[in-house]
Amino acid sequence: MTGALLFALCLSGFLLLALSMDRHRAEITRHRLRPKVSTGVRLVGFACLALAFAISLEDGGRGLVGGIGLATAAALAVVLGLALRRAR
Amino acid sequence: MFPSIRQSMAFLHTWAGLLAGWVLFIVFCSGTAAYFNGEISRWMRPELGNASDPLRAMASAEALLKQEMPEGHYWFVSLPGGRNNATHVYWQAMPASPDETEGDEGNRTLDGTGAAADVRATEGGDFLYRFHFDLRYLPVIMARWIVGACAMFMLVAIISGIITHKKIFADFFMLRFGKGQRSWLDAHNAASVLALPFHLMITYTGLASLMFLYMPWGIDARYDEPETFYSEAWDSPAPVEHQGRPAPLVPVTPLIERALPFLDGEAPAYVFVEHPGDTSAVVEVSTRGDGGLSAARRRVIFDGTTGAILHAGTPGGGAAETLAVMIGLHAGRYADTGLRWLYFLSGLGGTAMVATGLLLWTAKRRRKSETPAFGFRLVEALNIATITGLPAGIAAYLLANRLLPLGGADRAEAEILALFVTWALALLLALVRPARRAWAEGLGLAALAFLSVPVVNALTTARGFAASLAAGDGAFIGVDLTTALIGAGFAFAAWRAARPQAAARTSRRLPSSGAARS
Repeated sequence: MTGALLFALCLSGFLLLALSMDRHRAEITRHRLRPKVSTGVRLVGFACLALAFAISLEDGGRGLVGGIGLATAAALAVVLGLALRRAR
Repeated sequence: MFPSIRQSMAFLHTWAGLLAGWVLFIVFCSGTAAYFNGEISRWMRPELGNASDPLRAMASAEALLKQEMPEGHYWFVSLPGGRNNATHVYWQAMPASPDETEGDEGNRTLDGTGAAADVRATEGGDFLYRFHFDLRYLPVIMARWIVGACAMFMLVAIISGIITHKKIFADFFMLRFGKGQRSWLDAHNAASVLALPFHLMITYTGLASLMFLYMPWGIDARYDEPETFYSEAWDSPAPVEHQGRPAPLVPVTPLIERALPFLDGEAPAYVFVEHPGDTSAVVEVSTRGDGGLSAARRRVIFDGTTGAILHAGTPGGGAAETLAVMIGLHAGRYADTGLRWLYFLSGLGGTAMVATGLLLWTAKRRRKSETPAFGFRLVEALNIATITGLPAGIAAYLLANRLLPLGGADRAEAEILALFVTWALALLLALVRPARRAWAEGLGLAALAFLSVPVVNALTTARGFAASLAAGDGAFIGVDLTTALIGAGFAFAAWRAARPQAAARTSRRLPSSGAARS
């Protein structure tokens, strides 16, 4: 259960980070983001990742290993998702 | 020599990576598969059911050992439980004469409840585990030095790669398909950066787990016999001398239950009896070290003639425990199914990192000379042979397990030979065929081999995919499904490699986004 929550947090975090980067924002949505909004999106993205990190530490070393593994999987999902979207 | 640190690091990255790359591919590829060594072993012994009962298994093993060799050098029993469904029984007699070091040996595999099983001879998933640091057909110590040297190169390549990578954050999510060399670089970056914590951890802890081989000098300087150091570091009792005076051995199976309170909740996994039938007999009950990050085995040692507890608990102090955590992190024995899959995913990332790195070396140099130089041709052939040949060989290893006749003295060895013959076939392809064709054919070979695995399993056993699904048999579902997926991946890659090259695919140059660098 915690695993699903952590994965969702990491996925949201990385998606928001991608959204706050101009080149990827253009691939996700046609809307432009005002610089302030973009910064906000980036901060929320980092906050999601930080929250996931904190939650994973609840389970000590084992939790941290799992959290890092899930973060890798989530980032991979975002990278592949963007790449496939671009290829279409 | 180099105008900037980045260029000198790029040089280091390129050549450290190339020199060690092929060995590293072997280590990453077989090591990644070995995260599922228990499940692969189950799949490779289809005669065995999933039931396991360690105490009953030990009772049967003890009866068998008493019958086979009531007195001798040692008994060793690997108990079923957890991811293991087999009971392995080994015994060795005392050397027949003082100039020999080992006596006659024997072994038997029982099922998880200790019933005698007519099980095919195979090294199972444990072969892949051993192969990833002991290689094969080489003296073990030499192999470990080779793997260690390459792992050190890996560490150098990772650090220099991080320094070389110009836009590690700006390009974090960047993966562009169909842009030739640029795409390989993107893929290499993605495989490396996304699983970077894993790559650093696995390389460092891999080196650490063999550190006494690589750096023995501290021990040499301080101790006359390395054994003294090991027994101090891990609280091991001094080895016992064989007395040559017969004495009955206490019943061993009940000792397992008496050991339980000292095992911190871990399951008893190994029973080792030294000098059964002698007054010097000792019995050691130990765990797999899979209860937590630390891989330290909990153990209890009993006097073999009286049954008194001689020693109990977790061995070692803080330094030994630190090493045990590193080994635990590396091997992931503690990992439940979910975490095991994450380890596997990151391991695939490492394998892809090495493979794309090797490919980049050729991609960057392809256009520069019309007739490829010998060095270029050599690297390309080794790339094709390794990247397509080893995976195809692993699939052939699984296929041989199902297709070789069940009897035969060297059956387990023949399965392994199938891996290397397939690999040699890929090398032959790489040497005699033009590179493009060789890539397509090598990848096609791997695709065919992997896609055949679930099919051949269904044809040769009663535990095909549908039956396993109905029975909820995780190991069989996992191996069948994973091999099918990997096969599909290779088929896709083969199809892409076989497509006629779009003659001049103009790589649209992106405006160099120097501003994106932060």
